[in-house]
Amino acid sequence: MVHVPINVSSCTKLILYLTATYPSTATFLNILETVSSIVDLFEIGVPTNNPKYDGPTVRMTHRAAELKGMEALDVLKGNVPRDFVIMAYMEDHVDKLELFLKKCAEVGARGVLMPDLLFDYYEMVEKFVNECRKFGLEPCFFISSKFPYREVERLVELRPLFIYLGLQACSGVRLPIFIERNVKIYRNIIGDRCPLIVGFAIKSPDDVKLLKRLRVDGIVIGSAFIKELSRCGIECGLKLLESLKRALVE
Amino acid sequence: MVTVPSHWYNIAADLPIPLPPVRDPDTGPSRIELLTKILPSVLIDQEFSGERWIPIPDEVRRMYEKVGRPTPYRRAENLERALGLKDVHIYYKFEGVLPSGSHKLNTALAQAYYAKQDGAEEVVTETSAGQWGLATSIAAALFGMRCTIFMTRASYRSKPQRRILMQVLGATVHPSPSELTEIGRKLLEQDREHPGSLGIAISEAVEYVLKEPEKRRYLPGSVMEFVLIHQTVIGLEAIEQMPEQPDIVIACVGGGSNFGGFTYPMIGMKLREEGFEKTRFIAVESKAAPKLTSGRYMYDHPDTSGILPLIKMYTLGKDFVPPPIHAAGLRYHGAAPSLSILVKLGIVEAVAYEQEEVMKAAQLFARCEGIIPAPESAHAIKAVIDVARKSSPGTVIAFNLSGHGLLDTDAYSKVLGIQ
Ligand SMILES: Cc1ncc(COP(=O)(O)O)c(C=O)c1O
Repeated sequence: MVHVPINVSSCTKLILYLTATYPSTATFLNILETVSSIVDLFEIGVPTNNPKYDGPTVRMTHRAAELKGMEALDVLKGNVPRDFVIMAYMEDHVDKLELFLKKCAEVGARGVLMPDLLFDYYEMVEKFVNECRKFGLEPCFFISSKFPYREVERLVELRPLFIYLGLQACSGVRLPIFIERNVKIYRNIIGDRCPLIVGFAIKSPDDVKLLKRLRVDGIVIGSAFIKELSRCGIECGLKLLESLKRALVE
Repeated sequence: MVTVPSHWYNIAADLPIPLPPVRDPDTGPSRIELLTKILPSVLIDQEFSGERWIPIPDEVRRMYEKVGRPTPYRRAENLERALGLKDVHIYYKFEGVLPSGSHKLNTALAQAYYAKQDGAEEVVTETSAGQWGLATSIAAALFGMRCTIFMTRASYRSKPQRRILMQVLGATVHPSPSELTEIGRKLLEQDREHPGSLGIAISEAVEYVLKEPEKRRYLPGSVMEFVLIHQTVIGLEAIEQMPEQPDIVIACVGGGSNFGGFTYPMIGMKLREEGFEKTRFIAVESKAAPKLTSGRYMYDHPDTSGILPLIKMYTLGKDFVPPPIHAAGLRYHGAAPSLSILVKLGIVEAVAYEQEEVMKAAQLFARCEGIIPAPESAHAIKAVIDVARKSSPGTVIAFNLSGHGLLDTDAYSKVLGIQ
């Protein structure tokens, strides 16, 4: 498995979000192979019936994925050619968190990101971190664009693999939000103590260039790739990633 | 001399736990996506802003001055005496001096300004007692825009004065539910005399905007975080005006905008450990719409037909139709997400009162201080009186008198039996 360090550096990483076994197990595995030379890190979603904080495009992939939950996780073992983190909702796993994280470690994940952890299970942050570490997983944190400053400080102290800032209200939907200001605020608070990656509705080389200038350590592409995939297949998805990668390294 | 603040305050930056994100429901089109067709764009940005201090545009600041900001902060000495208090001081911030008669103008001006910036020609909203409708009508007049108001039918009938004033200012006022929208027609079919509710009127206003989204913008009167942000001019001014730091701070709650506007700058200082460390904050609601004291903390729509995204708040359910009370501005099913979190964490306490006891408190205040309070604001006064009576010497109490009640004669006449 190729291992690219996720760290604070001048080199912004390209991260691809995929929902496991969407649109089918075979195609999903094919996508991983096809794009693995351009992508630095995969974020892989565990298909759920309740993708509550996601936008319409990612929601559709959760519903259409071939397998659900733990079964979809099994597919990952030995099949992801790059480092990957798992994205799952705490709501689905809160009763058996230990079992779930053990599974994530078994299938080879590097870290785990639970987007509802800090909003709906705030009291579980420490437990989540401890359980992750127990299985050799690196905790990752998702924050919104209006996250309390002091709480960001607290997250930094917990030494996550990265902090993921959602630029928009949900994945894949672009609202007239002044993302430049919000990124600057959280980059300022975090400084270079922890990698800051950003995502939601990033789709063009211009978006990527702007974010690179704002010194983010990684950008996540999700809905834009899925839309290209639906429009004309893996080739189009690959082309999109190539154009974004070019903008990143320019 | 206190001046109009240069920035609004955004409490999201200082909350002890993060605000849960807005959410789409499980079915139907993305309501989040739809927001761009409904709200002025800068307001969407402010709703998702991580900035603690948001600059007030010069033109809005000038408007604030033009309409009479800063508003006064006064001591209610006669009330203290009438209650027989020993060394308990009561202060109030008086938003009723604005030409709208209430705090609602603080956000109406900002919202109309941003709507115009977007190129909109018409602003659209809901109102119950008419306080918000009147404020929006004034803002629209000042910025030279058309204005359409959906007024809950119960108030349209019982409170003609504010409706007439809105029309004087150039607004078009429809009783809600109305024949103009799908949800309105559906409800009228069930009941020709449907009294309406704020939730229904919001739905109608939004549906009406979506018919011509290029020209129209919807302006919400409360609940949304940006509304509370605009209202923080109240508390920011008050902090400058206070001769002594209050031990107890009180305001009424419909959706939470005058409460948040008055208290958040102080709560923010408390959370940042810069002051108000020992201050208690009390939110006062009506027993007719007791979301904070009897509601559930959950995701719900701010409007009855569910066109707007889900927000996490204390709510009685979007379909809850409160009994028609005179403090119509408090007849709302939910409370702003930030206020809901603060209540959940116990940083803000909540109490609920019945209409009769509230109007008696209003009368006492009027006879002491010479100001007729709005029935909504009178809820805060009732709580002030109750708390003051139990307070030890040296206690300082401050409350927000969010509006005057000069147009609420029906409330005073019916509840107090004055003919
Ligand atoms: C005078 C007055 N105070 C208070 C309110 C309650 O609204 P909010 O909780 O948003 O301040 C209203 C609403 O119409 C009002 O008119």
